[in-house]
Amino acid sequence: MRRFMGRPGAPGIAQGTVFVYDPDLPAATARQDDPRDAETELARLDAAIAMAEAEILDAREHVLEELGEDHARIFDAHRLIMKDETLVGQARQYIREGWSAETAFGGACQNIVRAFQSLNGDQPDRTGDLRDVQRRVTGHLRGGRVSGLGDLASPVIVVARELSPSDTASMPRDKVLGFITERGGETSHSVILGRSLGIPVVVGVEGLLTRVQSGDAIMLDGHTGQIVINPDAKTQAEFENLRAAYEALEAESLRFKDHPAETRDGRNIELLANIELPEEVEAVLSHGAAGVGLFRTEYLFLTRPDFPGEEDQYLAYRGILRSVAPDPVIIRTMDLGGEKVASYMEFPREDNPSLGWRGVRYALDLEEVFRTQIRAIFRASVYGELRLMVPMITRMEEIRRVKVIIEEVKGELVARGQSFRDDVPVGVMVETPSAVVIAHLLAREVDFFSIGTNDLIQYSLAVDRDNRKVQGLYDPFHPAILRQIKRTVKAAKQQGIPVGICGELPEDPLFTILLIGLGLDTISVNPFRVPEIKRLIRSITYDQAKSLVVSAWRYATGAEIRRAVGRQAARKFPEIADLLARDEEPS
Amino acid sequence: MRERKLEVVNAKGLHLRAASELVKLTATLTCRVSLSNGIIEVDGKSILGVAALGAAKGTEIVVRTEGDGEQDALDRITALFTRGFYENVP
Repeated sequence: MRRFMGRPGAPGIAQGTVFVYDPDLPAATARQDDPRDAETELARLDAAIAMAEAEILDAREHVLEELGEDHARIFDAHRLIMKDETLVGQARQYIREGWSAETAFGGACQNIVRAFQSLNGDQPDRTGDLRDVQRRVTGHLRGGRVSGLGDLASPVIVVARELSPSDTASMPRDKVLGFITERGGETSHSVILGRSLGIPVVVGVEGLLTRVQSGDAIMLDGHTGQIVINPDAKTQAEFENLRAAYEALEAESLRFKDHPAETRDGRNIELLANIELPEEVEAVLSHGAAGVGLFRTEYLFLTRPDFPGEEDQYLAYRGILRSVAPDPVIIRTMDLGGEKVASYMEFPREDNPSLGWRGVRYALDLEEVFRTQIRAIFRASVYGELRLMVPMITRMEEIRRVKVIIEEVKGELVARGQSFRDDVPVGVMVETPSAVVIAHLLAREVDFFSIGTNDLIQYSLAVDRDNRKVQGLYDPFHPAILRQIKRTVKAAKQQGIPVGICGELPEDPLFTILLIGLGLDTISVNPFRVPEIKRLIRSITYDQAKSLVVSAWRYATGAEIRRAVGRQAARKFPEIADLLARDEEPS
Repeated sequence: MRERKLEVVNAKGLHLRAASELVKLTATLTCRVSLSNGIIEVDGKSILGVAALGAAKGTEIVVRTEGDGEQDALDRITALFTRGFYENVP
């Protein structure tokens, strides 16, 4: 039995069998140091090819029965390729030169791929088939560790370095109980997919792939980030208890699904949900959110080979607006850059991407792409209650320019005879210290604010959350953060515009109480957290929350604030002691 | 040695599936088989070699056979070309 700690990605508890997903081909640096191993490597290669061949014959049979001879024939080609003398002969030669079987076979395949690609009129299917063969043989060289997620036959827990949308595109969704990745943070694809599927995810477990194999038993707790490999009976029982406790908590919270998110003294909070993919709308509705508080549009840009066209985007936005109507949907315009780039974007390498070409800066530089998105959004506006939000504002010029573009786009739609709503509120994300400082000025230009906590904390405290050396300094209770939120709320109230917050912070129960006390109108969280946040809101009073905020100003450190406010909250709100208790250990 | 110029008649050309049909046949032959598109000449028993010809529909390929049963081999290869490598045959 071995325990590991990662970071929580998506809530839930699962136990099951590990499936290691590793699509990467071996790096061409794995030279065998010991030449006497060449004979062993040659034998390994032969064995792997034989196993791959048997596998292909199986697949052929299967396809022959289901789809007929014509479809089955491609497997003949695969079988012939892996026995082809040009290929295997070269791989053997590489092995004799001292390379491992993996590298030798991979290198020989790459040579052929390159040769094909240099030909005139290359048909893409040939290199695709070669890669397939390469993957299959390499998989057997590694003891059957490689296979596509599309082939999953029984429910497993997927362990991977990281997962991309293309890795999971063909994955049968009912065959995955959870994800664990070595890399990744809260915005990684596995986290988002896990949340939309309602399965647990743990990220940031360094070195895990070297310690597990497909077939191991594993348990993960997506609430805490804990992982146990080959757990003993006692640990299994503990996890079962934990799971029962979480489920009871969730059931308790769901009781209030159809009630308003209103404090006991009558302050109504607009409780919304953050989503990334259209599929998540279902979860928003079933968990009792009053709409979508953040629809991230990046997936439209990151899952295809080129910038999405107006029609594709229009259909996506329309679909979401329609299914959420009459509740509101806040669509955030493209927030690309940083780690959110696709290969077609030809993004330059940046030394400091979080201070680089991202968010609205990128959007305004790629004005045609941005205009296309704005057009698609406004065309969809007639299908629901749209609000438009612009990310990463640091300067007044940016929002002014965006508003000019919006007016021009409206003019184009009028000229085209296409309908749109003229009353769409336009707001900005307040997620940089400069936006906070000029919030009173920004408030005159926009219809609402939404505070983005993740970036606001990163920029204010100068902490990269993915940097292990400093991630402990990422402290939402830091007095500077609370004061910036206060300042932003004040600027909004003075101008009479609503102010919300989105990010993961509102998922911290204690922090949510402070947010309510600070006067936030809108809170947007992951759909699965909506029930418990609603229960929390319904258990407290605005008055008491305000008095907690007042006492927070007396302390000079985040730790002091957390301790003092936590103690008072527990005394004042005994009904939610369970939620607050879970929150006690932040790091 | 025998030699014959054959045209690729099937719509998809001498792509992998077609090439695999050809190699399934040539692998059973004892004679040597080579194919040339006028630019490169490849081993007719190597699927990767045959695929490397990149022969689309209408391409003319010179097929050479040499060794035991070379005439019979050439005839059988010709028949396969003529039948379009069983493309679209269920």
